[in-house]
Amino acid sequence: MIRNVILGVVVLALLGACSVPTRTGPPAPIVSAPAPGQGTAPASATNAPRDGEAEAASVYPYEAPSTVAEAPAGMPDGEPEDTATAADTSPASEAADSADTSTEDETQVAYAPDQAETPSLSPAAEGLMREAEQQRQSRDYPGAAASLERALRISPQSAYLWNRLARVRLEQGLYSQAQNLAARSNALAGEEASLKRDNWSVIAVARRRTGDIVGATEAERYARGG
Amino acid sequence: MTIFFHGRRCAARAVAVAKTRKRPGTNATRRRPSTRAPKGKTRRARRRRSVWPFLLRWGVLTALALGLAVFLYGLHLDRIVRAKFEGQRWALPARVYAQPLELYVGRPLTPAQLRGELERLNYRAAASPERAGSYAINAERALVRTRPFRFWDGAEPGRALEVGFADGQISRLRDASSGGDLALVRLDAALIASIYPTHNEDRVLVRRADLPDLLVETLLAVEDRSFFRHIGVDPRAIARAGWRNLRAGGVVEGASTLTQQLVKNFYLTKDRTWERKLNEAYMAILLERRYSKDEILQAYANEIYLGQDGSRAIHGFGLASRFYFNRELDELSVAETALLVGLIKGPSRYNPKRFPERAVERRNLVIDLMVSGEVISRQQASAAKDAPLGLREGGGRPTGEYPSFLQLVRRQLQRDYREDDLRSEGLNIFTTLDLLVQSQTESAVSERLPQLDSARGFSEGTLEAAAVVASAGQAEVLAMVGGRTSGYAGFNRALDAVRPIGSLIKPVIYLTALSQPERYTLMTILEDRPVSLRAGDGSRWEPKNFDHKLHGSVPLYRALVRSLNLATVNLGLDLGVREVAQNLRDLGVMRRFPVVPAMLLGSVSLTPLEVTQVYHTLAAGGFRSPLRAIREVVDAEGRPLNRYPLAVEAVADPTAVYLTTWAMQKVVLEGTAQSLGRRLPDGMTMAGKTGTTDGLRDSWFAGFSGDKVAVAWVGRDDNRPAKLTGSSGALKLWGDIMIGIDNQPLLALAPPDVERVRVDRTNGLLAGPDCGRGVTVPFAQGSAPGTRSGCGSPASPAQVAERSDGKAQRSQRDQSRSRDENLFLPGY
Repeated sequence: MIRNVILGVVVLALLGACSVPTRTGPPAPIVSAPAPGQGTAPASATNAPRDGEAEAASVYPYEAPSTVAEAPAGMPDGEPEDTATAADTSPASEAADSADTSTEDETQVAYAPDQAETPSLSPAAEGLMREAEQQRQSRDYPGAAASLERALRISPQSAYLWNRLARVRLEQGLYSQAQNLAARSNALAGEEASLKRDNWSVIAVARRRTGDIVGATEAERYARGG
Repeated sequence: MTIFFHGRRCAARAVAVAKTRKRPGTNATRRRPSTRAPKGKTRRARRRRSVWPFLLRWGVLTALALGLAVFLYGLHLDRIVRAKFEGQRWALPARVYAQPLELYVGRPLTPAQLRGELERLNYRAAASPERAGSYAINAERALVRTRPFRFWDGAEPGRALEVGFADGQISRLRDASSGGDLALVRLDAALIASIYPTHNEDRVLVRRADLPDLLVETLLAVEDRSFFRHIGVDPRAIARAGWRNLRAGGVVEGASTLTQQLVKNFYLTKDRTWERKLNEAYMAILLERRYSKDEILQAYANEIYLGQDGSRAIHGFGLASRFYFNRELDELSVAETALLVGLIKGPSRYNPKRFPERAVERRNLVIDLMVSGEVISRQQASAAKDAPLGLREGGGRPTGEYPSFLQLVRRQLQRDYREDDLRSEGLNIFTTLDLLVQSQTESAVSERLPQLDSARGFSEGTLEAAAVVASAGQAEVLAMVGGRTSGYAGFNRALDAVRPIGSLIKPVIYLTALSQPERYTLMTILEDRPVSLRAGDGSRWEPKNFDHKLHGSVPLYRALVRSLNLATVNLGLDLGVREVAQNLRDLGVMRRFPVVPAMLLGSVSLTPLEVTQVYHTLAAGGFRSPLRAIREVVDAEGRPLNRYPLAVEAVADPTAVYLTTWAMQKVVLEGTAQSLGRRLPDGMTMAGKTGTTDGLRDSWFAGFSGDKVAVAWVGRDDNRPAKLTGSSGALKLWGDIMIGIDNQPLLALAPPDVERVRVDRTNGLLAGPDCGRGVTVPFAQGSAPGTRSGCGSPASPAQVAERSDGKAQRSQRDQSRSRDENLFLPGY
């Protein structure tokens, strides 16, 4: 009887130890009565940032490809997970992305021959573009992407720069991004036929790698000029 | 989750302990003596002798069990203590940089703007700049010695630059020492703040060595006399306090050591139960075992809560001395130190700004304690007591000068990075903030709001505003203003003010329609007729136009241009409210909203930043990119922590977006935003939409140029009517912002499957070139009307050729952007 009591005490003590509510975040901001004229909004605002959920995260969740150069496998292509997109990629393509990592490098260049002609850009953008090209050749993909983004800040409506960025993403294995960027380039390309064909070939390769054979065939037809 | 997990582990331990308890086979032997029947004396002897071992054994086992329990509990607490303490350590802050100014020939920049940027970078004006960080500037040319700067993607060397200006642009960029032309140069990035990314509040970090002796001794004298001697809890202090409290009949003295107070700070709620106190005591002991006295003192000095500045808490002596006295900690006098230490007991109760008498009383008490603790002499004490409070304004301002933008940066950091990474010392955070655009936005807000206040007869300061500017190509947030008082870290309306968007939703409805070119074109006739829908609760929803009139049959684009409610609702109901809602989500809205017909007139509530996200997708031709405030985060060794690369997703048909943009540009030219259209310089085109809500409570304008998208909101915090429509309020502010910064005109190139057709304005049918009622409207290929309206002479063969063979025509002029082809310009 006493034994049971002691047993119970020990068990309760240990269980009680585990039920201490602990805070798992930084100290909460002190919320005081709002200053006159501010309304009740400040009280909720200071507590909002912790969630990151729909209420406070007014910029929607961003998934940056963090290990872009090394492990494209399973890495999100910069798209939020929970939006049903109207984009070209099917849900199966994301799984295909992660499965298909090993052999992307050498095959890309072979499949998507570079057809775009180099247009005339401002000297600043052109310098960056050349630098990006060098970086791409030496497989410094994050560097190439950064140079291209910098160039895009100078000439945001240059379809050629978008095309270059699409190629970099393709070589990184970020297929849905490559498709989207190529589509963006197409939307800005106007009548530059060679550039558009190049974009379509990028899209074709990306679709083929993600398993969308029908779409890939169609894209290849456009890439040939048909 | 953690508690559950711990619970399971502890339960497992409990079971294990219970099992070990059962294992010694004493049970059987214990029971057996009681069932046997010993005889006479031997029985009594045995029983008497058997009590002590019995008790001893059980006592030892109980003590062991309890000891084990306490020990295991201690392990658990120790882990918590370590996690919390490491988390509270204030290491080197992360440095936050704005976008660097990039210089290249052709970049729009005036000498004044360059001077402003150089001043922000703390460059010195010199007659002939020799040293890095100096410049000389006049109306035509600037000589700058730039400082070298390490960006994440490479180092930018220091240079001697010669910049030539002409026509508001950079006309020449040369390296003054070598004489060669330079294609592109980055100035060093401006440091806008030092923040602690894992915390929402900031500190002015003081190290143990920086703590003045006076402060430390005062602190000990007042709060914890034997700090350097005790083990975390001070039993003598507890006894003494208990005795004094008993005598006084209430709580007059606290017994918490500094360590215990520090531990108390780890907890979220402030309940003072026995359980909590015991936990704190235990944790204090553990803390003392792990960390040295100096470390604990340093953490305490940086953590202790000392006051409130609006919604911002003041923690730590470093920040408090700046906040109350606008002085550094080592400059404080005896009286000022005493005041700060006195605040520990009750920062609100003894708040010197609100209760000066109480504060003085408390301060004097502390001074007495300093005397009795032999920290200061009696003469010093009496001099200090005579001193006034000595409060000075202006110190301890929140991080940097761009608190609204920094709040966004913080949120993105905490959302997208691991906390461990953010705790590394010396991070460099490169953001997208464009200081030129930010300063223009801030000055626009501060100048326009008082004008709006007086125009509506409000007292100064009634109206509030928010504005966000982002780049249309890169989805980078260039500027953010969260309220009319820039630099004040209060409620950030751009991030957090959730307001109904009103007519801002209309472009989404029209986009949905135009995405079905077989059903709707820009000239489709809509009926602006009354709508009456039964709501769920039996009431009827009967919206009205703003002017309470009915406009009959209107072409689709005119309904958007004039923001006709009834026509829009009819269109939306035809399309289906769900379709429109899905489209709104595709464009980038993450917040939940009720999918009801009232949504068609903007009962959806969003923040200005969320609206910017939606309009950015429109500005980018139907390509959604998440808005980002951070470009790169780099650790102290220059290794990138993570990158925010540009990510793009096609969510809307580019042709439909082009058509919608055309209609939105008409809004600016001839619709509800005409006043903006009249202000635009020649050749500049912008598209947008006004938004007004019920009772004129919210005034919105959202729009974009070729390379920038901006949203402005004006309203009242207390949600009373602001008496402003979108065009009389937010539009003016928006115009001030956008006209003051550089923009590229809207893209003149239409997507290849758009054709321009001249149609009759009244009935949407083909019109001849000399038709007075004609207007050139873009159509998706194959959706243009086939029949002629009879207005104007029949189309000439050339015109017919143009319509059906637009490709040939366009290929000749595809690269040029002359006025003739720009459908966005007035005249079309």
